[in-house]
Amino acid sequence: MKGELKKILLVEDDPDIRVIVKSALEMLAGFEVRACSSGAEALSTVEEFAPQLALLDVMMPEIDGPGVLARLRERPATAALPVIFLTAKATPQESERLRALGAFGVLSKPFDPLTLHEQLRTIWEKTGNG
Amino acid sequence: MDADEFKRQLEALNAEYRAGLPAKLAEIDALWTESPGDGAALLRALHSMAGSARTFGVKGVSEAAAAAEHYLAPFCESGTEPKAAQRNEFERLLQELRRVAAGGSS
Repeated sequence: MKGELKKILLVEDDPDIRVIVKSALEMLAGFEVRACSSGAEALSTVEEFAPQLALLDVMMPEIDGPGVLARLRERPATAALPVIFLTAKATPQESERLRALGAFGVLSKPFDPLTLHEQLRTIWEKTGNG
Repeated sequence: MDADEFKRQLEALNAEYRAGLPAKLAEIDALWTESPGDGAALLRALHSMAGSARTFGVKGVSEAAAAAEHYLAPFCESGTEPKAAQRNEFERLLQELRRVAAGGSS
């Protein structure tokens, strides 16, 4: 889906981080954000919500971020969905590993809630969708 | 909504987070004392606190949680049970986490 970034799927198991990310993206940028607390919830809602971008936590129980990405790539409707990972371990090696899995970007925790939406827009534009 | 208004919302979320720290610590204590075999859940809880505390500006709590997480991680990865001295060291790290959280260290 090309054009201005509006709809984001957020997958984050930590409720505190989930609230702050959702609030920041909705209040500061006016994005429509669907927040999911698990990979399974995200996979059950992604096709109905039809996001333009998915923001995935890496370390989650049961299905982790890379696991969600792999399943998205298996489905025709979400195979090309741009994915950005949010991780507390954003070392160069880890970032490279996540990009090699097909991520469009890797953002590190802690993040600045005031500028998170700008970081997402910057990556979005680099995907060629903007 | 402008940035100033969001900053006020952020302050409210920060206050809510700090008020919820004792309950999170109680969960970590319970995982350690009541489910010693479930190291993965304890590791996740510490990892979560390390990440969220830093995001909410409670740096001391984040660092203390990360120290406990990093001490525990090798045992979880290798599947080995910590020995008595190692358990004592982990207890000490948890005590430090409680101390820092009680002081509201940032």
